[in-house]
Amino acid sequence: MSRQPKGTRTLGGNEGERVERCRKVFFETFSAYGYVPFFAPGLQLLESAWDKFPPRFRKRLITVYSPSSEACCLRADMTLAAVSYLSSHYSPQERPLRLCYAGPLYRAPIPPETDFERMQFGAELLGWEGEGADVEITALLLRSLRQLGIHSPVVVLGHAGFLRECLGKLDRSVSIPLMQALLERRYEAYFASLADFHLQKEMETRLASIPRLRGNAASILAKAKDLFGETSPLKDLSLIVEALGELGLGENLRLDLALARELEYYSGPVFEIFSGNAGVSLGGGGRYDGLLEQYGIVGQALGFGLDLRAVASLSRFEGSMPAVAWCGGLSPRVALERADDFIASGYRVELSWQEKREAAIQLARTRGYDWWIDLAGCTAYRLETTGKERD
Amino acid sequence: MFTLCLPTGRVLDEAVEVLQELDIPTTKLKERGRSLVVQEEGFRFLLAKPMDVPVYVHYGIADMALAGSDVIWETGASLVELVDTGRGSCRIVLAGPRKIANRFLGHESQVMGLRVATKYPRIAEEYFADRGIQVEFVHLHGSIEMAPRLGLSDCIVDIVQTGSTLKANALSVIAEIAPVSLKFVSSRKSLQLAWDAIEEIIGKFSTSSKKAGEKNGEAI
Repeated sequence: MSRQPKGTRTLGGNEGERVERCRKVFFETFSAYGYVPFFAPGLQLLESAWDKFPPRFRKRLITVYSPSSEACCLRADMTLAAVSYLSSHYSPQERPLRLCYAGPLYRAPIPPETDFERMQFGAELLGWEGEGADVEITALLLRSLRQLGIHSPVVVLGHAGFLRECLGKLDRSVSIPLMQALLERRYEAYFASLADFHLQKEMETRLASIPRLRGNAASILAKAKDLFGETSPLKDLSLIVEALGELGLGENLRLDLALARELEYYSGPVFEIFSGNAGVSLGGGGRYDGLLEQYGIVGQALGFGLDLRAVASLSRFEGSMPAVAWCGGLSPRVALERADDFIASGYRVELSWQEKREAAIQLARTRGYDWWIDLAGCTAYRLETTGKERD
Repeated sequence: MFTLCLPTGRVLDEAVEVLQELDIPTTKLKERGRSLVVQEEGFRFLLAKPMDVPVYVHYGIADMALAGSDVIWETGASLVELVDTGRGSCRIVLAGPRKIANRFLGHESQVMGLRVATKYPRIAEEYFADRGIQVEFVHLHGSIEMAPRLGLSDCIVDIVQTGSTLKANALSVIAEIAPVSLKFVSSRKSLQLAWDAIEEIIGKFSTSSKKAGEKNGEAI
């Protein structure tokens, strides 16, 4: 019996194929816009990562020693690696830097989840100083999801700066429990704390409104501006909402001004993505200019990470038709040339060198394909569920 | 159609009362017989063991649920706690016989290595780990109170309502760990995708608690 470590998973068969095709679509979409594939090491030095992560997150790091006796953790976050790479490999003139990646991340699972290894796809845009980056990355992400057949993903937008601005005026003894309650999505605890702190009526009313500011982007922005004025975070969100609307992506957008993400390095607009039946998000991201500052770099930084396996489980491919192509005694050169013709017309072929045609048909059935191809006769046949094939 | 998960057992009656106060239809729920899935008007009710309720919400099977704060903590499920109904009130406590309780009054070294019986291993582990106390846990699924009496453990971490079961087993409360009550929760996805409907329901919580003149924690 061959066991593998608890909390890890082998992705093979149909699932492996779907994950790979999702990865490919993401890479193709983002690399067409100048995002360069990025492969970070599997280990992160603890001395570099420790102070960048909040205490709750640190508890989830999986620590190991490298063969050089350096204290490390298995890669828990790709953003740190990307920022570190930018700071050490690119001069200011070469910025902004666009990166995309796919690979496993390792964090101790929070029950009821059990996997500590998760495949993630993500992209980072680092060092830009003007407008447009948030829209670019969100629009490309939504386009990728559409290409994967996920037609109604919902991007929920919030703003880390909005929450900091609202809560920052309060004493830390008040703001910390309120922020913690929002972060843990314990809204009843948030309201109980608000009642306990006996704040000024106006302040209490404003703070009490935050967890209710959720839903249609335009109407929530209008409500928020009535309550909080034209603050800088709300202006940021307005620009993003407007631009995504112009791109025809408004239907995919919701606003949640109570949205807070676990990692403290987020400083501007943040987002999470929901689709399908899962109760939790497929992933999310946002702006983390502050983290860039810690590395001595001026400018914006933003990125996102998506659970590749969760995305793959929702994806629908309507593109190439998988088929077994029976070579029927043809020479390898001729068989490959004819297979190329079928590939060019939209098939994805798996060559069968078996002598008997029936063996090739059986292989197609075993694979669950709808098609088999007779390369000698240059004909594709659809396999009927009745077991008979026809042209 | 909204899917609402409810805990079976003692707390189900209170959960149904909460639903009635919110004008959510409960006729078929009350006449369910042995059915675990009941559908009425725009709602589908799932009846699950209390400890499983947050898990159904976490994985998106249920949009909303009424779940005890003890099981929300114990399962670690990622969900949104919207309203404290104030129902099903009890406490999670550390309890033990008098001689063990006295040891907790002294230095941590006096309680190192104790054996603790509980059906809440995660909560118990967090409680002792936060205090730097190393203990041994025995995970039981019920009748926790008899464990110290029979020598299976030195003390217990369990929920207590009136304290009469503790008293009957010669146990007393050593420390309060957390208050417990029935909470109205939703999945993180449903919070975003079905917010209008959820907001309507939690608006009714405010109305019903005002009607009752109670202060069960403000509804969102």
